[in-house]
Amino acid sequence: MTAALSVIVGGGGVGKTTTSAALGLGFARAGRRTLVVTVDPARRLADALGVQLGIEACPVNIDGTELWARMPDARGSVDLFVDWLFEDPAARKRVHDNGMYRELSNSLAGIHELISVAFVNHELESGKYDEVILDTAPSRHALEFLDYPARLGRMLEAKTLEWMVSLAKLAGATLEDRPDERGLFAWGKKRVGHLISNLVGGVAIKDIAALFGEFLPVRERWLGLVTAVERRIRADSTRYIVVTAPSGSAIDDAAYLLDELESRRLRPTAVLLNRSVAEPPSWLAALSGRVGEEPALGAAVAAYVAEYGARQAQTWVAIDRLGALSGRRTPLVALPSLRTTDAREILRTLSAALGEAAIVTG
Amino acid sequence: VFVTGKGGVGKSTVAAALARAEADRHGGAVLVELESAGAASRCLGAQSEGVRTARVDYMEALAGSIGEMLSSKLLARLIVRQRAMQRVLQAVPAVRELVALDRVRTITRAANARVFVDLPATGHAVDWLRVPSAALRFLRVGPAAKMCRAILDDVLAVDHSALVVVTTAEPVVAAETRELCFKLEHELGRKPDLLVVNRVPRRPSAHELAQARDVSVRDPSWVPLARALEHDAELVADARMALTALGGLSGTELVEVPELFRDPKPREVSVHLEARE
Repeated sequence: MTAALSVIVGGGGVGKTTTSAALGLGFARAGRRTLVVTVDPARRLADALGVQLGIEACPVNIDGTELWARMPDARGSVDLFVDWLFEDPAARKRVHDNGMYRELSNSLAGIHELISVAFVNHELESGKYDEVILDTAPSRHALEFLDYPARLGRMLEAKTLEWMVSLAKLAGATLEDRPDERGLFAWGKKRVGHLISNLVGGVAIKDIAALFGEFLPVRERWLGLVTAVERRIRADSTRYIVVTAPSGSAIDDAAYLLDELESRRLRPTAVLLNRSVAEPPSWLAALSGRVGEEPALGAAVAAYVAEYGARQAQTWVAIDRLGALSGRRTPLVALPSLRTTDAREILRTLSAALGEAAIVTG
Repeated sequence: VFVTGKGGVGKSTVAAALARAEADRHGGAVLVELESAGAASRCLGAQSEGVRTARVDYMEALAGSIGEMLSSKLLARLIVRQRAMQRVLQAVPAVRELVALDRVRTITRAANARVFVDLPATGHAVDWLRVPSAALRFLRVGPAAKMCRAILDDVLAVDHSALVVVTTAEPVVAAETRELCFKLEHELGRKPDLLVVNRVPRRPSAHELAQARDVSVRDPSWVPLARALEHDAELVADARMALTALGGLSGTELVEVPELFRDPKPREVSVHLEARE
């Protein structure tokens, strides 16, 4: 029995990670064994849960409920992934010693997404969990994660990869003649090979050729993973949850993400409007009529009245726009704005709100 | 001028405001967006006069960079159009960063105004700026290495560029900003030239706080107000302490932009930035 996957997407700063943690707590309370994985290089998940997290899954206890969380770190997870992909220790060592791998593997902006593909699949199939929640990096990167398996799968298709390896070999050894290859195609390959060699330089091209060469023997292993992840992305049990907040740019991001999900024919399970203000708090309404009694606090009360009024207006604009965007087919859940920095209190409140909306159980 | 910060702190707004202020003072500015899908130029809205906006199109930038290396646009287009080549280039993200930064370099060279670049969010921004030096260490010689060197010399060099880090006063965001600044310093040897604290809430006065506490003791219906004031006061004080310490350490200037509870217009933000150069 494999676990169900929930993918949490949204623009930057909308509270994706906190919401992921709250959703995880909700699942765990409903008795499901739950793992929350964050792809965001930032340390938000640890902060949201109020604990230290490592690259290995570790248990977190919240009010007696246990859930699991992990936060893969950049360098460590690239190495872990390579160790998984290359079973042969000699090949493993060659890859780790490769100049291109050493200098560039840590600089690749998409690397977190790529690694998360492998890790999440591994966790889903482990049988240890019923629910795996994937908290993605902001906006565009979330979609990169959806595209990566297919993109890399295409790259590692026999033809492309062999082409690249022979090309790199050609370029790396420009003086060697290859009598076994003739005709226009070989000639074209050779021309392009020379060009690329000229562009990136001889030493580098040998490293590139070597690295691509290493991928040939493990291609099947990699493609197997790609296929499994592709299937997972399209599975009925997989949920896509778009998180947003009442500001113009956050709604723009949500609109973009909803579009992108639709273009991939993936249906969002819910849109969560975080930090919404349905109405000013009742204490403020009560006090605003009594500022005469405490003139020294008049400015403070007026400031809060103005703030909550503005945020309520923002919330309504957001709800209108989101309603128009998703054609009211996707459930929209408004999560309250909280004036506290207590991580546990935020988690408890949000998870209760999600539970009421039946996102957790439904 | 590179503008970066944690996602959702108003990077694009600040980038637009900086470009707006520059155009107001010196007659023109260029606003470049790398990944934000037009967010910064949208922030300009009706106040776009004198600001040119540019979005970096990946394939076009790629053909441009390769074309310059080969001194032939035709050959470059032929290479970029190769399907196998496209697949490889798309799957290797470092190529993307390099050609985008190279495009920033050509834009900067062609423009006779200051260029403001809206960089991707935190973690990715450091990756972006680190790519040219990492790629250079790997490539060492050849035209691609030359391109990396040109990016480092013309675009990223300390005397040719400024780094603006945007943050908010929220504790989590302030903590991440500290981390970003440490990363910038240790991995790139750069300190931010300006730290913009966006959406700073109103800070309750000590008198207000004391008054609210007093009244709460007599009448519990004032307790929530006292709590809200205490929360806000603590938030602003903590953030100010953390960020001032950061600014003090690196000698970075700190500018605060107040919370408006709506999407601000560039000039509403730029008035707070204007005093600084």
